[in-house]
Amino acid sequence: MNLSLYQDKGTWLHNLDPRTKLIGVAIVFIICLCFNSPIYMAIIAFSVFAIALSARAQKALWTLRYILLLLIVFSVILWPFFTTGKTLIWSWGFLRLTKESLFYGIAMGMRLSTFVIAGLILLSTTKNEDITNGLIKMGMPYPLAFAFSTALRLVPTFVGAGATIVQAQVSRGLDLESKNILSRFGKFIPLAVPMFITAIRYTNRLSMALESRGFSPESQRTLYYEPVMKIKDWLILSFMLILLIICLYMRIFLNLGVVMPGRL
Amino acid sequence: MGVPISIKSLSFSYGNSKEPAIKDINGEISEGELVVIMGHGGAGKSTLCYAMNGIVPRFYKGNYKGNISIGGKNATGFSIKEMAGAVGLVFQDFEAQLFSTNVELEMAFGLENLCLPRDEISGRIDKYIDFLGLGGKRLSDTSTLSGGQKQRLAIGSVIAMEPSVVVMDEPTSDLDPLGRVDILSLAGLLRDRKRTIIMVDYDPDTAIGADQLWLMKDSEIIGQGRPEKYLSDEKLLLSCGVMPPQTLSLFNRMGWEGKPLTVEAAIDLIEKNNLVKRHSLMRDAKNHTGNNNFFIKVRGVCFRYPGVDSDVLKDINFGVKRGEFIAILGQNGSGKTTIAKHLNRLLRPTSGEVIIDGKPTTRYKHNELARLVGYVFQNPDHQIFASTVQEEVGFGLKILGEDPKTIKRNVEEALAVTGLEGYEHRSPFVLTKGERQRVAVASVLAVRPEVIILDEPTTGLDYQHQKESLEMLKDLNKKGHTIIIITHSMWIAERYAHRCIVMKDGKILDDGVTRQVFADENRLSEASLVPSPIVRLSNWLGTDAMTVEDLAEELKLQ
Amino acid sequence: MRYALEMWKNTRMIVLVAVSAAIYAAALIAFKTAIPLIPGVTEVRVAGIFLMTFGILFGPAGAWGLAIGNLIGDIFGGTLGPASLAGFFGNFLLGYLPYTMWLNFFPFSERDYQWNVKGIKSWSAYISITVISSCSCAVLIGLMVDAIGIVPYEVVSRIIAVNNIIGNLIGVVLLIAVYDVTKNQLGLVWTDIMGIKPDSMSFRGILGSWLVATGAMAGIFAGFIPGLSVNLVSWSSLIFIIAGSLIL
Repeated sequence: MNLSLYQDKGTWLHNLDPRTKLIGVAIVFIICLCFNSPIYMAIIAFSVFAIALSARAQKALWTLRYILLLLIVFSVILWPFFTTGKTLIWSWGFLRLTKESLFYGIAMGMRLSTFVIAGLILLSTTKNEDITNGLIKMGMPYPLAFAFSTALRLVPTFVGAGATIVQAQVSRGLDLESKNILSRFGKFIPLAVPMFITAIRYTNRLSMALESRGFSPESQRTLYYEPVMKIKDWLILSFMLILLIICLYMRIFLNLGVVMPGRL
Repeated sequence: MGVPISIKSLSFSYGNSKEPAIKDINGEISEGELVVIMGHGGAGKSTLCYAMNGIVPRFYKGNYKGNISIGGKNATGFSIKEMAGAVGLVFQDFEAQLFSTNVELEMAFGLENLCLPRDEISGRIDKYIDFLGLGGKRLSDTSTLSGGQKQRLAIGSVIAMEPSVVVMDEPTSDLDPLGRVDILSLAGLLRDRKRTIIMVDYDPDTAIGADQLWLMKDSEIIGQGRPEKYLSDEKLLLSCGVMPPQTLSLFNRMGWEGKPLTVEAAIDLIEKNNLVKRHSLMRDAKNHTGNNNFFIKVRGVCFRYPGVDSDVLKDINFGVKRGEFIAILGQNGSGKTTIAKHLNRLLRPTSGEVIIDGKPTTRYKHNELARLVGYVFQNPDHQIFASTVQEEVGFGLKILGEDPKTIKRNVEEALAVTGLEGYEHRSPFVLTKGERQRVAVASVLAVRPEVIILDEPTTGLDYQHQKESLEMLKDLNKKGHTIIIITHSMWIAERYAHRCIVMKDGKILDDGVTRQVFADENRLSEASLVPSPIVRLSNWLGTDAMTVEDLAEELKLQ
Repeated sequence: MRYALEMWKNTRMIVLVAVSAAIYAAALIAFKTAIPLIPGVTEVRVAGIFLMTFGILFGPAGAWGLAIGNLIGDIFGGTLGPASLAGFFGNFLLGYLPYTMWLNFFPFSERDYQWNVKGIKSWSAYISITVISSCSCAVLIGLMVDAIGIVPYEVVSRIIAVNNIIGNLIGVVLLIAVYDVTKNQLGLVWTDIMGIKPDSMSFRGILGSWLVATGAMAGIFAGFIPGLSVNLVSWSSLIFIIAGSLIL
């Protein structure tokens, strides 16, 4: 079963060091947090979208189209009720809609979409093991990285086991097709218990096999695949850093790109 | 050459258990030897393997007495890393031994743990990858490999660490027949390279030509030495839950001289001593499809998973009559399970239809189908969830809305049939694998479906338990249930099934009366299947029999 | 906090982190697309039934497992972003508080580190910790996603709290079903794996539990008291929760 969002396309982003991409995405996240004006957010959102297209991530994006759409709708509807501004547009009873809060809602919708798109660029251009390797090289302790990568590897196995368990119980007569959410919760037990037991029976076998292969959490080990930072990685990272500094300067010292002061 | 392994009065019991898992084990293994360990389920074979690489008592704590020395050094004195370099251990469950995303990384994993420099790691991979037959797969994702290839990789990544001894604990039990051939041939290559190998296996064939055979029963070794000596002792093997070589059993029954362990040896003896005349096998012209009164009809079924380009099933047609006992044979990936799951609508055909009792499965209500066709999944752990056996077995009836009285009656009956009386209030989780398998069967049985499908019901059971399960199915069949089993075990199909369906690459390769299907060894070999020795001998003799007992009788009548 | 770090020296605990993370993530993914409540933030969490069970049985491995599992759910679901960081810590708390508060949340706490289905102490500990851990997680995630502009605190914190409480209350059936086999058959209760006896009730533990409990309750219910600044109360709540967790 293939759940991974990775797309084997070989674009310029695929060839970057995973560290560059991890840090790059983090910088994009922070830049998004610098501004809450719709215009500024729009510029950021479209730049990130353009990068996504150059990474040929459109297929992965397409699968998330509903989430993206809902994010925008939710933000635009919700935020105006929970933030206040000066310029009143409309009011009804205690409900007030102001220009600032509406703009803020629109900006937040775009910010959230940008988060998702940026995350997707990372995931569709970087294999899971490269993400782990990048994290190790950035100082993540090996046992943690191992747990992370093993969990990533086990998820499809367990989703597959889950599907078999569903089939096993359905063939005994369990009816999972009712749409009632509460009764679904109840029917989850005949599924959750075998899932839990099957999975943790794995634990002892996996640990034994692991120790038999010389794994010990505290000692040093070689990293067979060593990611190497190339010149273009350094160039891109420097560019991103400069961009970040400019954005921080604009927000903190010039107070640009703000419709809702006091909020990120 | 030194002594790689020497075991002296070794006993071990797990944790707070008083029952020893192994008791007073002694043994000497010299360099380059192949030692085969056989015994019934729970005899202590795995524990002995674990003790050899120090998992017992380091990982599994407990009461440890006696000692094992490896290359003159006490096993308990090794550190984890030293031990990994001295004794490599390969487990039955190949999925749980792979940690990486591609073949090369998997082979590197142990070496990374040993802190070898990067170029030495790649040197080791180069050195062993072709030997494993995985040369063309160096960068392949491990999840795309077949079971046999995965197990090869697991063995390979242990060998890459260059241990002086390789211990394999039932390395082929989870594999299909092709995968088993794959692993046994690799073991043969290792042997040619003078590696010391210790292997737990269930088939006496493996022990032929080994240097030592250790037979285990109830935590102890009850036979230890040259394999020929013990393989010809039918009673001893049976008492250890091991199926004796069939040719040997036949010779014993016939009172013929000689102790042939293989078909070839048996044929030699028969020809040399002129023991019996060959006939040409009468091809039975009876067509099993003569009577068209099918209970289940599978018509032109094709199936593909959504989003996949190729068909898993290609135009499948067959019928099942009431009261038949059918075995579906074939390698993994040939479509056996996929077609079986169509029979109770767990999967719906992409095209074609499945008709049960005159009505397409798609037109049945969910609970009607559950009463018609019961399905026992391969791994009982995929369905067991209740806190008592009684509750577990009664679950199907309960959700189908039966009244408590009926539930009680049916559960009692199902437990009686499966030999689980007295287990009503026990927790199903603490039972052995074989018992859990029977709980799964009972829980399907309790609903009293007309047809019962069992997916590899004997995986992981020893000969004795396999036989018991099958005898139970035979009784059910006599009571009128239609039985369909998916199996890799040839002797089971030969002995119990009326009819066999052989599958290959999503198509039916052969479908007919069991004797006919097994008479055509060439056809079977297209699906990489080989009949068991007694049937091969029977084919050669031109007799009808498919079991040792029947063949002996038939020959005596001649 | 000690065992949450020490466990990384134990192979079986590390594997248990991976296994519980994978179960949690698999359950999250299987139901993510089905019933989203606020897309990209929270959904009907059927996976919630695993929370207390992982926390009580696997202790620190359960806590890390939930944290990593949630992150993996985001990775496979395509919703990796700054909120994933909030999710990481919030879910960590869902596994961390059950095992640290089990003996310390006086007067609700259990006397021994065990689950006894017939013992009133086990039930009072289970239910009270369910409420506290669910609310703590809700306050932490709610504040962080509010701050970065994803969803308003008042909305998301209550959804998360209610969601987790429901999941945990149903999840008690799971714990009842698997406790015995996990402990006695598989030997996978964290105290047995690590070979330790958890510290019995201490002043420090009680203080930590009550700091967390106060923060959690205040953070969720402050909005119902008119005249209080939700912002101020919720941020102070978070400080209580973090401080309490650190000394537990």
